[in-house]
Amino acid sequence: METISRHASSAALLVGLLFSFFMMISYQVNRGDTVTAVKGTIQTVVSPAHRFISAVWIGISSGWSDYVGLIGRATEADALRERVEYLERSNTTFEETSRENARLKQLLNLQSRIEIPSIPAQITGRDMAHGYETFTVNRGSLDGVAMDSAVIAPTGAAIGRIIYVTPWTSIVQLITNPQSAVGAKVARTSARGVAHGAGDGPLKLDYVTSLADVEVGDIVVTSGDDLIYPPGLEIGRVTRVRQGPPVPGLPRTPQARTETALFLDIDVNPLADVLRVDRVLILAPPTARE
Amino acid sequence: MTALRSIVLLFGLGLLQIFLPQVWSGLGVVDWLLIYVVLQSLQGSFRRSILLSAGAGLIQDGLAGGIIGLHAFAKTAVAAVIAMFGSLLAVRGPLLEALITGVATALEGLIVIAWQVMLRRPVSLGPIDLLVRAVATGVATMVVLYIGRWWQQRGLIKRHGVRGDNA
Repeated sequence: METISRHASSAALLVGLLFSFFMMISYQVNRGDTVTAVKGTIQTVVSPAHRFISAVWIGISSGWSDYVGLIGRATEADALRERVEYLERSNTTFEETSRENARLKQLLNLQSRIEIPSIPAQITGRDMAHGYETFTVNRGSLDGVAMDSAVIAPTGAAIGRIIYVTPWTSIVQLITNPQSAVGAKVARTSARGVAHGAGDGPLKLDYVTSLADVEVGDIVVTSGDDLIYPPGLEIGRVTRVRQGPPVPGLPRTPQARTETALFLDIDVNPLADVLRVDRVLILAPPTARE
Repeated sequence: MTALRSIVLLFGLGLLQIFLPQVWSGLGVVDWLLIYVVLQSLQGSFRRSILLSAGAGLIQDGLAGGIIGLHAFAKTAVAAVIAMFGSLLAVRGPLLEALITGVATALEGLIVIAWQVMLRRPVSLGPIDLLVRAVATGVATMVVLYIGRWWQQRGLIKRHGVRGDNA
């Protein structure tokens, strides 16, 4: 009798746990919110150890590279690489500034761009099963990181935004995450839309009107409409442009599709390789930029 | 005390799981948490196995940044199957335990894929990824077990002063 009771309680525990997880998943999917109290607690508990381990690893790996590559050369190479990254970023910003400048001059409404302070950070953790969704960086609230700060690659391309901050580490939601949405525009024509992640490499540029001029090869940049990413950061390059779905209720003939489609169906290949990047820049949050 | 030790160990393995791919991306295919869960499920009680696996899954979800409960669900279901299997059959030997861990990895991957399909999210693992993860986790289990056994024997020899040369 006791054995049966023990088996029954174990079975009840199993069913209870599975049901709890089922409810937990359903709740998050319906709310579109992945940062919960559970995740926050786990992150806060492990973040000091995480930061410590990554600091030790960075120390060991950089010590080894200094030893092998001679200290002077390694330092020089680091300085040069930082310089190249800075120049690449400046170049991207310059190109967008020039384009924007031309448009603004036409309107006789000159406006200066603001320089945004940034914090360099090292990526210290990522789950390879969710490589396109999030990663962890070794900077937290004690370093000045705040929620919704934009994160960019050293080349200047947008990578994602901060969705959770602990004192020592932060979680970055990548632009390739299915729950990510970035205000975007085509740099050449200023056609505006929203860049969505798809959970794998490419992005979708939605809500671009079918009358807009968009071509394969166009560069897509942030528009700043989302008030998270500053305008002008490179997102990706257009790889495919098609007419989107027609107005609901109309016959699904090719002609009707072309004539009545409201939006374009645009694929964008991100310029930053989110799986390979190991260092990023965290920009000051939107509130601090004002 | 055992529970506290298990929790600390799970956190350590969770950290290892997200940190090792930074050292070398190939290490990201080994599910260290699942290795611990499966080995415990083959030896421990059913109740302990599912509680441990639920904790391991929650830690993995918390650290990975995905949907909380996805891996917890998959790991709990897998641990329940393994614990039932372990209570029916005596599983002994690194090779067999490694094989079971490999199968468990594939099973967990399939459950995660099923969830992703149901939630209409992009599937993060293909058939080849599943196979690679299963094989890598199985091989890692075997290595862990052989190292553990060697370490245990070394300890016994030291404690009892047994030496080959009778010195």
